[in-house]
Amino acid sequence: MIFVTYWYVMFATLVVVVFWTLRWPRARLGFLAVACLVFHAHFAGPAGMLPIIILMILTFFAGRSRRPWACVAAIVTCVAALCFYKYSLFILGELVAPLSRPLARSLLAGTKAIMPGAPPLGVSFFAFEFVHYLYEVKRGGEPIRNPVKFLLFAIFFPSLVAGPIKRYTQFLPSLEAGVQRLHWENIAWGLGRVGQGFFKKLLIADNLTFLIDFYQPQFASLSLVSRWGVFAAIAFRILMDFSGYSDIAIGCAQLLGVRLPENFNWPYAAHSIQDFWQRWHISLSTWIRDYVYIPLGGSRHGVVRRVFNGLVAFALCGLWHGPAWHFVIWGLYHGMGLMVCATYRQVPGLGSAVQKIFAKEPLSAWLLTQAFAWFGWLVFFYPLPEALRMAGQLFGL
Amino acid sequence: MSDLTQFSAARPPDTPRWFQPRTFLAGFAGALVLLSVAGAWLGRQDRHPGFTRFHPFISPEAQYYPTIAEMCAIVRTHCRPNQVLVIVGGNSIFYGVGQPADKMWTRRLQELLGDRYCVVNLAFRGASAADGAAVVAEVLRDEFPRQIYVANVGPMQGIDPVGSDPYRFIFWEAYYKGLLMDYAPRTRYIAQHFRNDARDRRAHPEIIGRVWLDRLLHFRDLWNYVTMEWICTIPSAYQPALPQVHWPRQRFADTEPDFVDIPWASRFRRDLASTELGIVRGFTESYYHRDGEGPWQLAEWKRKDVDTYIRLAMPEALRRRTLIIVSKNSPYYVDQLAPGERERDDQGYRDTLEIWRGAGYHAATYPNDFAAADYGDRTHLTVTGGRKLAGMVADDVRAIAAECGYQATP
Amino acid sequence: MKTLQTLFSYLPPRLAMLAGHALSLAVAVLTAVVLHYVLYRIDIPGKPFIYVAF
Repeated sequence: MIFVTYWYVMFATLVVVVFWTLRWPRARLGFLAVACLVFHAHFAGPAGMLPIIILMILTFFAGRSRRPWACVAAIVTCVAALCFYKYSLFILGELVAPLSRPLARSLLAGTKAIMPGAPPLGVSFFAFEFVHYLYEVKRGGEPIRNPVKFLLFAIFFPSLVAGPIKRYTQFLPSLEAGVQRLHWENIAWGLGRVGQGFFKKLLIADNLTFLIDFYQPQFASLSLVSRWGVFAAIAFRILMDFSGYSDIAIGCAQLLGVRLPENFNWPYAAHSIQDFWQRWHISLSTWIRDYVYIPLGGSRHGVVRRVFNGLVAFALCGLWHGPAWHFVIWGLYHGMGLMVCATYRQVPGLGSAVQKIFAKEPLSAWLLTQAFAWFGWLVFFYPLPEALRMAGQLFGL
Repeated sequence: MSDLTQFSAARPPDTPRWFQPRTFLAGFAGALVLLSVAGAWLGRQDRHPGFTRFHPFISPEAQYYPTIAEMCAIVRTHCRPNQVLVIVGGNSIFYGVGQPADKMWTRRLQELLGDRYCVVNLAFRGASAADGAAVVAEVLRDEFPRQIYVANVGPMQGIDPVGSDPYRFIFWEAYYKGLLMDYAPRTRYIAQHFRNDARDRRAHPEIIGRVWLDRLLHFRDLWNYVTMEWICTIPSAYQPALPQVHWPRQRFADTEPDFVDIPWASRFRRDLASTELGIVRGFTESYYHRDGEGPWQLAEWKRKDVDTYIRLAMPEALRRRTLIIVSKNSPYYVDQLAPGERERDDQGYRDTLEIWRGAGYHAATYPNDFAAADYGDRTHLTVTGGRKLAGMVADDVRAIAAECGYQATP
Repeated sequence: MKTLQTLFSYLPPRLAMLAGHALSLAVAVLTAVVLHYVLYRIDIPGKPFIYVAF
């Protein structure tokens, strides 16, 4: 909700105005870096900045050293930090406790004593960006040598809180080109994009949220048409909420002349699960593909390994959204869907028949894909028994 | 470095050819100015024709947050400058819960006071004596110098000088727009409030940001107007579902039910009796002690606490024109108190009146002729109870007007 | 967006320019209205106050 505050509106306006008032690109970079620090300090507090500053310094120097062991050590540290801040209570409560309650209890007490009140701001995003950066440098990519540019990559305020997850090979050139001169198109189009984002978030998503919160508890007593209405509202709410936030982030970045990657591309127009994941939260799905699925072996080691890799990748994708089992189940649900989508053609007889139907009637492929995705949202938002109950009630069961 | 070259072009690649950025920016700036001017103008118009009180559909309960300008416009529409303005504030009791709009007690008060006075009910359900109406009265102190502010409190209740949730936004708007009197003790209290109240301390930039931006762009007045007249874009617990969720708020009437239509057994439920009695006792229980059968003594810390806060809430000049009514609980419950508890309760009212009067306010409580039938529940009055209240308040208002030298002319 | 681009390409240059200005102005006004409304909406809490008589 950080974008939806008066502080942010005034801060962003001031930053954009001062940024373009400065004459020299270097001054703009320096000013932007200071602004990002101010943003972070305001919302995270000085204590809350400590984790990202430490990880930033570690990642920067590990990358600059270009030593593989340093990059790996930094990757492990970033992942460990993410797991600690976001998943330690979940791991202790759900994985350790069934094995040994006393151990889990004492570890939980110890963890809660040192854990801050909330995870560091944007930990899910900057941890992933640091891992991407270190992985690419380890593979031979050129590290960022300028600390100011690295700081901007690490805590660029438009994308810090809710993405999109940046790639440094795109961000750096965009930043360097963007600060050179003012293009009125960027200001105008950026403003329009921000307006679009707020429209989706406040006017559509927030109002749908209220309607869903009102009708969902009475789901069983609604008419069939109303149930499908609530079902559609759930699907559109998440799209408008998430893509609205991405629009605001991309628009704000564009006001500063910086291009961020697109995160959504009409996902509800997808005609296959593969297509869906090329349109939904694109920056996350490509990150999972490049830094989990492919390193695990991808599709290079046969069907069984491909299915396993896909399920692991998507289980982690689900878990990234939050420390809870229903997110993991949602991830596995999509992982299974994706694997079926990737391999159904190989099923003798049935595979080619289905393929022919989809080719002849593209609408059927689209319907099936959307049904799959939309039913997945029930699992994403509600406990599994309730999600299954609601799914049954959609068909009058 | 192909990424670099595509961004060094004169025109960012994604922008469509038809798009004219300078026209867009000029149009954007111009539209923003027009919207702000419209908001400023609308803020001065009365958007509440036929206003009776801030019923739930036009209050924060239904996500409608009236602005200072809006509330002042209501007063200006209802009252002539040569009338003595009587602004009624306080909580649901003074709002008139259980009294339909055409029978609410402030209507009776207006009838009793006559045309020399103008009574406006700006009380909110769940508000305090420092909320809403108190702020509006202070804002209008120069425009309506002959004014009396009337509000209610409970026994041993003080008031937070910055008001209470969710109505505090009215105080902050007036304060940060510089509409209130300069009153150094209150200003010092506000600084202390932000140091002590963690939630408001975090919200401080938002509070200031909202007021400053609204001062410039007048968005609250404009969109409140749209919400009242054209379309509501925000659901609330009162109209969460289609199609009512989008009805303009003027379409919703003040539909306060009459207590007389609610059976006695529902108004005074046996299963809630002990809870209600606990509340009655709670007003004074923690603050009084006595030795044996001696008189009840109010703890000095509590006396000082209430006294400090009520002095901070208003400058002295405004306290002189303020009438605080200490609301009484229904005899249905009070009569069930043990004798000792009853004495303590009575002492609590005496002490409350003494503290308020000692700080420069006028203070009174209900006379002894209020019966159980005058109440719709433990605290709220029926129409008949409201008429009795109006009679009592009318006498006090006339006395204060005379004391303040308000020579009202017809 | 591509449809719009195609439509514009069918228009004579002068008309396309005028239409571009008109459309940009319309989008600008809409953006201003949305952002002005956003400032109003930021203030509205997610959960309204529920009055309970006590």
